[in-house]
Amino acid sequence: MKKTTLVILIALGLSLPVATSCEKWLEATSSSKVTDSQLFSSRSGFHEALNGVYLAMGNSMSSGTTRITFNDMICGPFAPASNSENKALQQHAFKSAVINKQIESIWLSNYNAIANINKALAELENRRDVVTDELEYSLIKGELLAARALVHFDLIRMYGYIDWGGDNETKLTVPYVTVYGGDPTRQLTYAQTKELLLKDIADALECLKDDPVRGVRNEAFETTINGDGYWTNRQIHLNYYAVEALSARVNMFLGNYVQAAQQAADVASAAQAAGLVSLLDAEGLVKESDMAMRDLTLSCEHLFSLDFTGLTTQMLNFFPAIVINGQFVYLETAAMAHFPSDPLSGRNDLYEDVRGPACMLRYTASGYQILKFYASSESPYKDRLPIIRLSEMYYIMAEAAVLSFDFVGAAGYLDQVRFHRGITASVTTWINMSETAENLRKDFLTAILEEYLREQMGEGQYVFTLRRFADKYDKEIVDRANQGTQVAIYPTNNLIYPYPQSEITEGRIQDL
Amino acid sequence: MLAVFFAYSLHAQTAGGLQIQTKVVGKVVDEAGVPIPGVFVYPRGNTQAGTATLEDGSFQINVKSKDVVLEFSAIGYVVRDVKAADANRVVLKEDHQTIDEAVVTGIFTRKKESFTGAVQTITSEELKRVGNVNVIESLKNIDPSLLILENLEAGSNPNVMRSMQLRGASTLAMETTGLKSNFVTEANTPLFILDGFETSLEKITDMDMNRVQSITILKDASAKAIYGSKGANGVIVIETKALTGDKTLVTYTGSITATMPDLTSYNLCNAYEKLIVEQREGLLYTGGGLSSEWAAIGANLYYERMKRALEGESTYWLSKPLRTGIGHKHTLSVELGSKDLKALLDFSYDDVQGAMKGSKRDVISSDMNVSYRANNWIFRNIISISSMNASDSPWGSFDEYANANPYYYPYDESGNVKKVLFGGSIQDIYIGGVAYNPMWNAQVGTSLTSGYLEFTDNFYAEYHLADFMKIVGRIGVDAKKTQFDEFYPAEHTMYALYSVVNDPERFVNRGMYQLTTGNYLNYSGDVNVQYNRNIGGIHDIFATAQYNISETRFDEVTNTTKGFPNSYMNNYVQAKDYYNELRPKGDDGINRSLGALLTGGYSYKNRYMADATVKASGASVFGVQKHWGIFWSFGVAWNLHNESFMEGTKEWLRQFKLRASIGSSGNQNYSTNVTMPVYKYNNSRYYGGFAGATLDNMENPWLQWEEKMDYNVGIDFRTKRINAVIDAYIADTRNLVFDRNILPSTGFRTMVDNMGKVRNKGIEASLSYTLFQKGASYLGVFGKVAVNDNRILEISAALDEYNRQKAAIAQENNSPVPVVMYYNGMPINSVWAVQSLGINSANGREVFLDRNGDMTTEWNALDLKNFGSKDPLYNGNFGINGEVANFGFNLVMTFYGGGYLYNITLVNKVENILPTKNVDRRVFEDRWHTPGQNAPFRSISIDMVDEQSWNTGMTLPTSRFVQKNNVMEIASASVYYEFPLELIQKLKMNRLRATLYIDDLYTFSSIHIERGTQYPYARSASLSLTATF
Repeated sequence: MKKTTLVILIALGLSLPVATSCEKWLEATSSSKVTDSQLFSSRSGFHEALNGVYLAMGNSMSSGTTRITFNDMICGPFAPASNSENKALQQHAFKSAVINKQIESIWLSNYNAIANINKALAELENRRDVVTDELEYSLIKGELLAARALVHFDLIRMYGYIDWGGDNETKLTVPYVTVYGGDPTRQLTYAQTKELLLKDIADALECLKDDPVRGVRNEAFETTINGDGYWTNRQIHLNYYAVEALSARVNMFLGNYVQAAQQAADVASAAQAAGLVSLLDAEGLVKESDMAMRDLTLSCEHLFSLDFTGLTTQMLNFFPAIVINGQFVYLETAAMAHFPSDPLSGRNDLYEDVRGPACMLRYTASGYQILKFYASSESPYKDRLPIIRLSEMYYIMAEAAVLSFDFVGAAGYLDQVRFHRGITASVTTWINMSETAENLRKDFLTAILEEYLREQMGEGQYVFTLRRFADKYDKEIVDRANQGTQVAIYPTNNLIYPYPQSEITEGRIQDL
Repeated sequence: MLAVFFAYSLHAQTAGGLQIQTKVVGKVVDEAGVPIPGVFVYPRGNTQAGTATLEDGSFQINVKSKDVVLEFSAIGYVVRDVKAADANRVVLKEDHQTIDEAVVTGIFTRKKESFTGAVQTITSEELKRVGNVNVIESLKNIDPSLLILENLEAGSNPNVMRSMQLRGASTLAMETTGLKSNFVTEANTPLFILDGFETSLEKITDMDMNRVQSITILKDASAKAIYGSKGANGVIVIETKALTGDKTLVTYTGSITATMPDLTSYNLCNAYEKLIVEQREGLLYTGGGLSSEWAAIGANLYYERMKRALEGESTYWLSKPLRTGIGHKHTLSVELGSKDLKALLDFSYDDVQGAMKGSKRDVISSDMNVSYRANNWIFRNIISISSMNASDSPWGSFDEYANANPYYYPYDESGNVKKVLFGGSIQDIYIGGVAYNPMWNAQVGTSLTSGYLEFTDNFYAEYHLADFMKIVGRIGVDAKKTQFDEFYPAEHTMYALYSVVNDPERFVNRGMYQLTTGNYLNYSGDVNVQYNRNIGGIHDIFATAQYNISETRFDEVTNTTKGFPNSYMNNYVQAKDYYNELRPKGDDGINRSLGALLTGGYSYKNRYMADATVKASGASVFGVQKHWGIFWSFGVAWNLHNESFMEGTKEWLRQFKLRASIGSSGNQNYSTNVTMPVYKYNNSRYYGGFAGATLDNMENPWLQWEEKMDYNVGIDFRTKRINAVIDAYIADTRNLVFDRNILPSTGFRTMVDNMGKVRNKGIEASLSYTLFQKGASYLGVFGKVAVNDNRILEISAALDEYNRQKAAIAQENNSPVPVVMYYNGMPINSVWAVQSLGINSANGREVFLDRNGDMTTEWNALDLKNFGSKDPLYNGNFGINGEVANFGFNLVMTFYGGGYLYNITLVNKVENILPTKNVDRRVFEDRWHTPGQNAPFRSISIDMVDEQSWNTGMTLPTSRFVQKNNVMEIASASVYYEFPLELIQKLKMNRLRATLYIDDLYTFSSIHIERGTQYPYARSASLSLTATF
């Protein structure tokens, strides 16, 4: 009997640890990888996850061959490509196997960034015990929400319409994913999706209202939370002004140009006052004799840029420093019309504008090649992939001014940027200011679109503005701004990328 | 053995009665005089009154009188009836037939007669009779339900582990991306249990066969449900030799093995034939249109080669890297001990020399098995240390020799091996290309080695609470360190293109060293309580409760370096630099599991039996939401031969048992980390000076084990001469683990998920018949066959997307290798090809039948059709064995068939081959070259203009190359001689036996295929000697 009791005791003793702690014990993983519960158990884990989001956004910008240039290839003023892939892109052969694969990869990598965002957002709420500082919590949350809006905004425009109003309002657009997981998110209409987008931006702005970049110095935060300087380099994070600028960009696309201009004006003045950005010193730029050491992406004006290790190398295939067999993208001499000469003074903008042959375009036997991403590994300006520039704020203000028939104001905004690009002549020197208002409007809009091109060439954003102008304004404006372009951009709906086949077979509708 | 003892000792306790009893004391020994423990001893016809021998072979039994006939039976020995009066020393003869009395499951031991599961028990003798290579190679010749798959690439490479499946493939092959660790088990591999602890296939392959006492294959649910989530692929339980008597015994076994390459499957052109082919293909010797001068040089070269070929010069390249490998192995085992403390010490050295020069594998191992008993305690400890060192042949892959042109000569004038066989300048490409001598690489210090050091310690403690109940605790540690070294010096032909002039950068970085090191550590432990009681001679009750826990960790790191200017700088640390900025690569994992088991059996008068098992398994590889699974089994059996109405058959019928079982088990041979979100750090990309982590996978917290439901019915039938076992089964694997495609808008392409169902159904039958038996002489025949049919049932719609992508990839990749696709109602391993209508005799092009039934010359992946299963429908073996006047022999033939093979080696040797390489003779004989010719192989020259466009002329999977795969092999033949007692006693020996084995003597195949493309197949002959002192 004693023995039987012993057996029972041993059995019970054994079952106790099994019953209590085995669930935890069974959650084992390999050490070269980190589980979510490990990562999000510390503040630095949240920093790493947020960095991961920015890295994933960088990946999405370099997916396809290079999405940055992929988007430009379909509308940019580039010479006919010799490489078959780029040739297919210029012909908008999105269904061709190799291009289609890249379009799928662009989709996937963008949604991968979104998955990272949603996962981090969910964990941020779950782990309030880890991120205890209110400000830090708000900053992380604000940046994540803004990133979600930014990535979706590009996705909607790449795989759908630019104009979300009118007939398009009730059409279905790409899924706006707010939950991390393996189950698909339902598609919503443009109108519904717009609400989600605007809400994310508004929430982000609210979260970021105490962003250190706004100059409110929080001593406790600086000494305890920001000891390692994580929250110091705000240019490469979606800071308050970057999000406000994003809001201005979105509003401009939505046609809310008054609101857009207000926000743009606020960003232009406040972000400069706060020291986040400053307009370029063009002379200073040219002073540096070593091309590879110059700030060719104009990083002093980046409201938000991604830190992209190896950007120069990544872009080499596209905009090579050394020309190899013509397998690169370049501008023909005809396309230099976008960097116009000044007929009155005889001076040539072409040779003044730092964005032209003065710095960023290099003349080769075939034409001009783009050098803006070229930087030495020693350069303090390397690895900066611009996402939102200060100049865009001036263009928004200028466009809003034109739409209000304030041409002098518009010229002022454009000239501010032009002067800081080294162009001495005002935009008005090649616009006949005595024309009719209607013609002036056309001229100014053409000038604005050309400014966008000069400023954003090769950055993957120009296509959206081009499509917006084409949808909204006269064909003539776009045609003028599109001189030297080898690709047909009409109808602009031809520039919409098809959804990945696997989404279509699972019942997604690309409502075109 | 101990368990057997305790299982049966209780009978002695209950057999008392009022009758007057006579006590019989005796000892049971084998022919060598070694005591046999665990021999079941009972008065004939009254098994309830039985007992079992102790570890020193001794027994005590009470019988009614000295005239009672006692029956002695034990695993691996012939049953013997002895009068109680003569039972003081009983000699049992080792059995030539599979007469096995106990089932060893690795957790407990049961008497086979009352067990309801489908098991196959293999004795040490049986194992050794059918081969002398290793345990796996012998198993292949014994039980056809264990299908050891052919590896047509690796052939008889001693360093490549065999793939196997028990009762058919039950899981889908997942595509692994990235580096797969050497510690990850293949999905269909059965679970190996060595002395109660889980072990690896490699350990079993390398273990000394002489240590094996018995092997038990657990096939159905009733037998394997005790292993819960690990048991679905079947379980192979190996017990090593147990300790026997208190007499010191020394056994030496030595053998010498010759491994000879088998090239019968090769059929290559000689120099003359090859040159004719080249002329016909019209590609070479033209000078590539370079200039008329080059055309002339080309033409001259051709005539010169032809002249030499006609003079009979032709190099037989195949023989160059080959040899007859002479290997040897030695085992010395010493048994020591007294009544309470016993030890078994083993030392073995096994040196395997492969058929390719420099290919070898040697294993040194030492084991110590110590047991101590005191009062109610028994302690046992088995320590095993083994060290393996292997080399792959520095001569390279065998196909390099098969590809070498016979008109090249490998030696220069002074008889040294040449580096360049032909060419060197760019223009030479237009007259036949540059050819390097593969033999060169073996001369310059290329080295491919691997090795491991493994230590295992298994500790057992038993406490006997009562004669019907005991507690067993076991703790095991298995630690293993592995290393793989791959070294290619600068002189290797892979760098021959680079010179300091044309590519200084690559030139200085010639030479490569890849070093992979790994660590593996497993701890496991369990405690079980065993209850085994007979009540009133009528009811037998058996029960076991067990808790087990285990943890396995492994990690593996690969570093690659470059820049080794010469062959004596052959140390990893002498590298110039890391290889092209490659960071260290690696894999690691940790698997944990827990389990609780309750199993019980009941037998009524040894007539009606039932077994039931419930096992709860928890494992870390499965989803957070699904860590635990419950597995169960239920089995019944009926021993007809013990029924009273069968009384009349007692004279001849030994066993007639009907069995049936049902139950579940799981499979968890999967990588970890798919059930929870895992972040990875990108070390080459920081963000603003800070590290960043991104999600690596879409997790599936609901992932669970593949669950296999086994249904089995069987018959065991045995008379004095006939032994027959028939089993029929259906095994449904549900929740197949598979990479499911998910919508990319989730951020990921795939998610590991459970889906669908696979059914294996089959019949296994084995029959042996003793043709003749008289005294020690006998002659027996046997035959076994296993038929298995494999089908996918209820596959999820998500696989349509997988199949669609596979077809798209097939279309895009232009690959001659058939893709794998999964469809309902089709076997897992289907062969997919496009229906061919043959070769158009007018132009030599292939004509296909498309999905609409129209003729076309375009190959389209959408037209792919299933042409049967790669797995054989049936396989089996048959043979004959016997013994007469101290001579014994054994012959085993194995066969399989009913499967289909896509003859990729033929395609690649006949159609998808550059004429710059040597080709199969069928190119010479059977390929289309003249309009109007009816040829089985298409012309290729019409499809290509220059070397680059060869790809467009590739033969893609076509039904022309789907062939029925029926094979019969003379697998093993052996002859032995047992030296007569008088002689060995003079030599102060207990036993001396010599055996000659010949393995894989000949293969008859319905397919003419180059078997062993990267390493040839081999036959082996071996002479073995066993002496006991």
